[in-house]
Amino acid sequence: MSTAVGVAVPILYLASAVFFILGLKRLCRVRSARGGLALVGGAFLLALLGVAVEAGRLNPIPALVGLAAGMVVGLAIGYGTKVELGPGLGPLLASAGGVASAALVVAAYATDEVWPSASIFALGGGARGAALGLGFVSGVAALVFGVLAAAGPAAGGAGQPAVVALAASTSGLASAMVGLALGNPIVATVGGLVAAAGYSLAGIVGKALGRSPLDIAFGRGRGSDEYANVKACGAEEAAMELETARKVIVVPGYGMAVAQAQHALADVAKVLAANGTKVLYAIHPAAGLIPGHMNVLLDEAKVDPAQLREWEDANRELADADVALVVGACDIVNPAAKEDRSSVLFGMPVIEVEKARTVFVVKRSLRPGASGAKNPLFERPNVTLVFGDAKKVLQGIGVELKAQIKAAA
Amino acid sequence: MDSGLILWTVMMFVLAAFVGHHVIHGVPTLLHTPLMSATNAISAISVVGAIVVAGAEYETVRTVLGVTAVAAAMCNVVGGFLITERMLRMFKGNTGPKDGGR
Repeated sequence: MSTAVGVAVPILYLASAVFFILGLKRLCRVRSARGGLALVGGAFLLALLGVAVEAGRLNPIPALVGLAAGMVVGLAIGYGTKVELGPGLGPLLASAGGVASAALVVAAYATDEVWPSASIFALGGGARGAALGLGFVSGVAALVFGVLAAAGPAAGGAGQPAVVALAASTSGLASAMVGLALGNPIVATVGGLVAAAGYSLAGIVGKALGRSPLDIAFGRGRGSDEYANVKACGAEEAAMELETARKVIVVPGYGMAVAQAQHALADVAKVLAANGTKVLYAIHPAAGLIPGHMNVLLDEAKVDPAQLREWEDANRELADADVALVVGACDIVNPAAKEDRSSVLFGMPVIEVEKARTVFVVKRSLRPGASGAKNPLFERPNVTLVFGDAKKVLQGIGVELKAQIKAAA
Repeated sequence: MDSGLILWTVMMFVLAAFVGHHVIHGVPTLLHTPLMSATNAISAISVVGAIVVAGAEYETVRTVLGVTAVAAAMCNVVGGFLITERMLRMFKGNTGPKDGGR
């Protein structure tokens, strides 16, 4: 290695690491987030440039083939994923990172060139062996977390966003271990950076749900309590109640996004408005999978933004509401958050739908929300569940409502 | 590769972990998901190590594993980066006329 190359590589790696740190820092502030992402992109280019210089005398063909293949698949996923519907294929990407690291570990074991040998001092050899072992384990863990998160809450990916963060964290740890074993400083440094950032982020997200990252990793803290005295009805009865209501507050949640029920919902709201009913939408900050999720979906269904209310205003409006219509939400309307000190949700802001005269909850089943907590709302005397897919139920309510209004006219 | 190098890299790894923990302190809820997505993309930094393994003149098994690793990691980087960018654009679209997302 010539002197120029020997100096250029560490400088490129150092600049790359600094860019990664500054980029992450900026990603944590709303105004600078996009600039932060651009810095991260630049950091990646610097790291790749560094390795290109470092590996200059190596055969570039295999690496280029891999880069091209990965880029094509990455572009397809990056543009093909529906961001509004939540992470989608995103978490699976973390799995891909885990697989990459695991494959590298196997490659390192495959011959005794990187791994083994009497020629390496006991300490160095032992540390390298440990790094490879840990790298493989965390690579596999990243794969498991990624698949779990992608499978969604319905398949038991409880505390889903936190699981995505854990997938990123373990994938980063696997990268770092590979970096240690290969003696590559940028891989070890940046791997360590994201392993810790991802773990802390899982902690921050998990805290909102009252659980530690380890609880989330092992799926602890899910309520399995049985429900008693739950009332249920069909679309017809719900439509009858809605037809006579003067004021209706709609509370959309993740279930509306999954069922893509926003258009059917907006349709019902339009019929109600034409019938002289005041309709408002209560938007909880944690509704859906990403903040702003509900706003985007309702905007898509052409709901007037003037009808949207933040949770605090919504709670005031609920006091004199005739009907609260909860569409595919659970944790964000759980009264345990303010009444039950032992609840994992205790202290979280909730929309107090039980203050309305009548509450209808459109939901597929009594399964808990992302927190896993039981929802005592469903046992309240003024609450009735309408079981089913949100889109189908709302379409049914829409048809019934139109028929009833026509009959009354 | 001597044993001294791995100890230096262990040191960097540990220091970087402290930085990683502190750098995301106080992130607002709004940015949780994009930040998660970005850390996910960054976590595939092992692409750099994979390039070295894929390019070295090893026997076929290792080259194949190396190329697989390069492809998987690169897919994570590019896909994660794009998804993050689209999320951030979507938030921007929320305040003004909507252009982002699909």
